[in-house]
Amino acid sequence: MVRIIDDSAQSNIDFLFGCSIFLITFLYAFTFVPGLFIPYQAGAVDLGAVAYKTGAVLVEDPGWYVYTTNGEQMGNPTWETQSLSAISRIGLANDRLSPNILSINKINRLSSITDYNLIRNKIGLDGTITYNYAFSLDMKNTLSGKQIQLLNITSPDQNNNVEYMERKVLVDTGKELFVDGSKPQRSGSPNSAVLRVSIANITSADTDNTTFRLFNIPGTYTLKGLDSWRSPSDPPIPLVYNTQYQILKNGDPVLSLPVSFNQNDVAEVVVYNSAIRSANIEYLWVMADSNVMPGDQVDYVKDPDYKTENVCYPGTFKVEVWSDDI
Amino acid sequence: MTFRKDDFGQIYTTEGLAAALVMVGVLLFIMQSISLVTPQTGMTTDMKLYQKTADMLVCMDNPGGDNSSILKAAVAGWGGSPATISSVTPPGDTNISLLDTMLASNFTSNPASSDIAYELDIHYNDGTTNHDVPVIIHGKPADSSVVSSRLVTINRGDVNSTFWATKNRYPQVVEVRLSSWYL
Repeated sequence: MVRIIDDSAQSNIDFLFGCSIFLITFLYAFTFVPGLFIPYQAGAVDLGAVAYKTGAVLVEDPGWYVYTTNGEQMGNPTWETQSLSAISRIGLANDRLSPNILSINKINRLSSITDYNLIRNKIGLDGTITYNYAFSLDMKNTLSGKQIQLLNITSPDQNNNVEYMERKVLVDTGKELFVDGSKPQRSGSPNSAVLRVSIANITSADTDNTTFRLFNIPGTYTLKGLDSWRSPSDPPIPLVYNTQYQILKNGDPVLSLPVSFNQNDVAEVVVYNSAIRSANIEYLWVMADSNVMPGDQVDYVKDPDYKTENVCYPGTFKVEVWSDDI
Repeated sequence: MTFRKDDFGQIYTTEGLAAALVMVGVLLFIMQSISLVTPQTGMTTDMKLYQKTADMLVCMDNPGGDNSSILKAAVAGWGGSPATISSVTPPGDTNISLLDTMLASNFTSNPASSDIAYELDIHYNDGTTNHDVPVIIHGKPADSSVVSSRLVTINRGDVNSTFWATKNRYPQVVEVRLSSWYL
């Protein structure tokens, strides 16, 4: 065997030295600039965008369902009243023009859907990558000061790599007739022990409960109950407390009547839609024990003094997403 | 068997091989490494805070049944004076302090342990100069603050303060800027 006696085709000490300097510099750069190579990672960056998108669709969009009339496909945002098969997209906003204002009916419908995979499909999380998700919506009733959890959808699958998005929203809990007791009466009629409200102008298509909110009532009073009439000449139709109507004191339900209030308290009288529709009630009388209520008859729909307004409470909507595919 | 004594016909040097291996190794390392750091943490938290700030302005500007928002009522009823170091909101201005209460209770679910601070500025032009007046102050904004703004238009028929009535420039467009930052 003959040894090579020249020095070609060998590595030399200069190369080893250069190589070490390169490696040390590279490791230094990699360690001290943590965000440098992150954009090249597949999947990881995606999750934040998915969380943002899911939150935006649910909070800013009213959703959509499709139906077919005379062979023509039509659509409408009122998906909460439809069967599951008709829903094409779930969204919680009241309408397209009012982002961040969520409809309580849509929230309740979403909360009633138990099929996790169906919801995933309707909020667009089962594309080429299947994402898991969790939602929660906490509302603060500013009258009672209590936190109420309206939505809590979780997944049995867990993963450590979770991204979340939190949105501040208003939850539209429905219409209420605001009866401000400090307002002087148009007709100059004295205060009465009975608040007479005409609900004849509510259309039968309206499925919301009928609610009166009494505030700034001058003096202490006790609410004894509610009378209802089809017309003033007919005999009154009795309503059953708790099953057909309910009274709330400062946002908290009252268990039984009578209940007393003072000037700073807010009373809410909620009459369920089913009770009104089943008996075609047109007049509701709120009975108190002293002459503190407005003397004029109030129209629920179009009263010149007292307005029916939507009551919105602040809430926090949180969506979490993760995936086992990435 | 004998080795050739010249240096022709060989891989040029081992350096070439080593350099190629290093390059391939580095590329593989970059493409496949899973970092323990949440991707772009700084940008994501900024985006979340910005979204929260923008949401707060949208929620406060929600027109109720009588077609007026809390934000608009506060701006239209504003007396023109700024918040000072000793007073978080302009003294005696109930509408602005109502806004402050809403912001404080909604930025986090627990205001006592809130880690977010904010500042509200009113920006308007009175025909000659631009005015930028802070009306809610909670310390000095940090360098990483995010800002969201919303335009409020005050018309002649709105319930206005004497401040806007004296200016008598209707419709007056006012920019409300909400800055927020993590403590």
